[in-house]
Amino acid sequence: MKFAERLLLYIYIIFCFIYFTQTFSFSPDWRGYPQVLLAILFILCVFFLLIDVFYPKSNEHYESNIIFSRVIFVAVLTLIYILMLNIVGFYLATVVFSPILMYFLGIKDIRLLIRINIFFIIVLYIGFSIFLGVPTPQGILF
Amino acid sequence: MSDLLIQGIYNVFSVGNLFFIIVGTILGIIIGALPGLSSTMGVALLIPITFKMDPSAGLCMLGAVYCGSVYGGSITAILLRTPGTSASVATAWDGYELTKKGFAGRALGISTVASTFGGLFSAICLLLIAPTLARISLRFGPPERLFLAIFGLTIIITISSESLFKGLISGFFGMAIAVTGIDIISGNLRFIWGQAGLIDGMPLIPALIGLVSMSQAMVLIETERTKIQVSKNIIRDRIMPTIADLRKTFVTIIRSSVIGTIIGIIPGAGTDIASFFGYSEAKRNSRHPEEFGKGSIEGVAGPEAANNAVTGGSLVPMLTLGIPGNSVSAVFLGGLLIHGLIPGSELFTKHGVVTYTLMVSLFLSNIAMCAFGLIGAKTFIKVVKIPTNILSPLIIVLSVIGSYALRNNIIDVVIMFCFGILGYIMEKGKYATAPIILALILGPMAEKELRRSLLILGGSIFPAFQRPICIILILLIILSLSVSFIRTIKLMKQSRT
Repeated sequence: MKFAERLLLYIYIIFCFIYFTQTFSFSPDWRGYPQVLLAILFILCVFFLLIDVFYPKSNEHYESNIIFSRVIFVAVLTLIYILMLNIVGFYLATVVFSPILMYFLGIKDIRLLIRINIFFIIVLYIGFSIFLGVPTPQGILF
Repeated sequence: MSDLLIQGIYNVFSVGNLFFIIVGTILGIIIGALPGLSSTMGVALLIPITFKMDPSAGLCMLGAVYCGSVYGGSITAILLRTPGTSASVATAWDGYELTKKGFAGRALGISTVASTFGGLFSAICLLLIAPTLARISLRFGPPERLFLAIFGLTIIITISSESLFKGLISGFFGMAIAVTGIDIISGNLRFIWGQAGLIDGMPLIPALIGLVSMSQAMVLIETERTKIQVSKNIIRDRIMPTIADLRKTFVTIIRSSVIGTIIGIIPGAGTDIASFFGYSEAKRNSRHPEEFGKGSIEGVAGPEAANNAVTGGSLVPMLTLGIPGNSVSAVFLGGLLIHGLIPGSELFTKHGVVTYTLMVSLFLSNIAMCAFGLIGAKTFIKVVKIPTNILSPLIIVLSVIGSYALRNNIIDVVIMFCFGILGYIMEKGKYATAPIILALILGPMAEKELRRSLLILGGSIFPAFQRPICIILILLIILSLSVSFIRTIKLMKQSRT
């Protein structure tokens, strides 16, 4: 079993525990429905993990070219970006986030980075804020 | 019906709708052509944009993106042997062989015509079948709708995942998450964790943007990818198909269009299944099956007509019964719901003008797709040169703004992010995300109909087993689960030997 698959099953099992305990605060006449769903999910996850313990797959293979540090960095950076949205505003946060991420992912040409991001921000502003009137997170400046 | 149809035709030809159909088609072709981006992602990212639009215009645009993106995958499949979408894998087998022989234009031309024909054929079927099926859906009471929701879930669980158990895990997780929000009968708040943004339930659009778009952006950045190299004179011959080629592929295109439409109507089966089926049937019925895999023009026409014919077909169960035909139409359903349009008979009566506008717009989308495909293939191929390290940050930013746009609530962006991470882990663990998306849509419906059924059937579900439609649906549920169970056991045995 792949690491990702095992991780996913553990996430689901933890999810089942947390959610199951919450169901006791629900109305007694209808708490059975989510409890049944969570119980089945829990059983399936445990069943799958047990199968892996007793009958491990012989042809398990990993994608060796994946650089997990890239994925983790992007996930952390995206989370910081999301948390900053309501503080500095969408456009300012994007002006910082997007070039940093592109630079990290291998775009080392600073001129190209600036050009792409200026173009992108203008397109976003015209498209979302002016043309469609979609509100964006507002911060201290913009 | 005829009045609504005429009004729909009239509506489609308004300047605004025409503009959004054209924009949607171009965007769709680009999204489809870019390897790594899918039709589902394209529709998911555009739903929040259409939220502020008039429902007709928004749905026309989504329909155009759907049609364009299914076709767009063939451009890179033929020219680079890199299918833009999984639906174009079969097209690459013969399309790329033709490119190697210097007939890239010929392959692109026939793929464009086949896609257009498939799309138009399915749009006609949608227009003819959907209103009738919607009238039949009036006979459905709460027990029928309950089993219909379960059937929709089981079919997508069994088809979209490599293992029944994996599909069931995703489905049950989605069902459990879908319980979030206020209990309409007791007024209890369930799984909201003190967040007012969750009172109305788990927000569908941020969740699906996360599962489909954010996760895909992460897949794109996980490896050092080299830029796609495209030689300057890759298209040397004419793109416009010759009469001889059209005559040679005519029967194949018709056959594949029928196959694609039928597969589209079957819930759970998608464009990729249709294209493989279209290809194998084209080969089986060809006078020159030995040419397949070596550059057969029928090998391009077969899968392309079939995968584009899925577009209209998959909207039939979605618009009439609320059961999406595949993951794209599941996301499309989200686009309907945000405009307050509930699938079923009302969609063809009360909201008939919007629905008929959407159905008629598919004709124009396919015609626009044909025009842009024949004229602009050389331009679209330049777009695929955009490296993924530029594309991924842009997708993340669009996912963020898209998930925020609907309710202007930052919690939606956080939910999108969480589902994005979950979607990425699922992708790596080879778990399909489609069952979660469908469970988020059908879960609340199943719960509501279960409670209604229990109320009208005196507290027990067993009387439902005497209703003919329920019996048929239960048998279909058992059949789909049994077939998938047997397939899973066989696969498990094979993997251990």
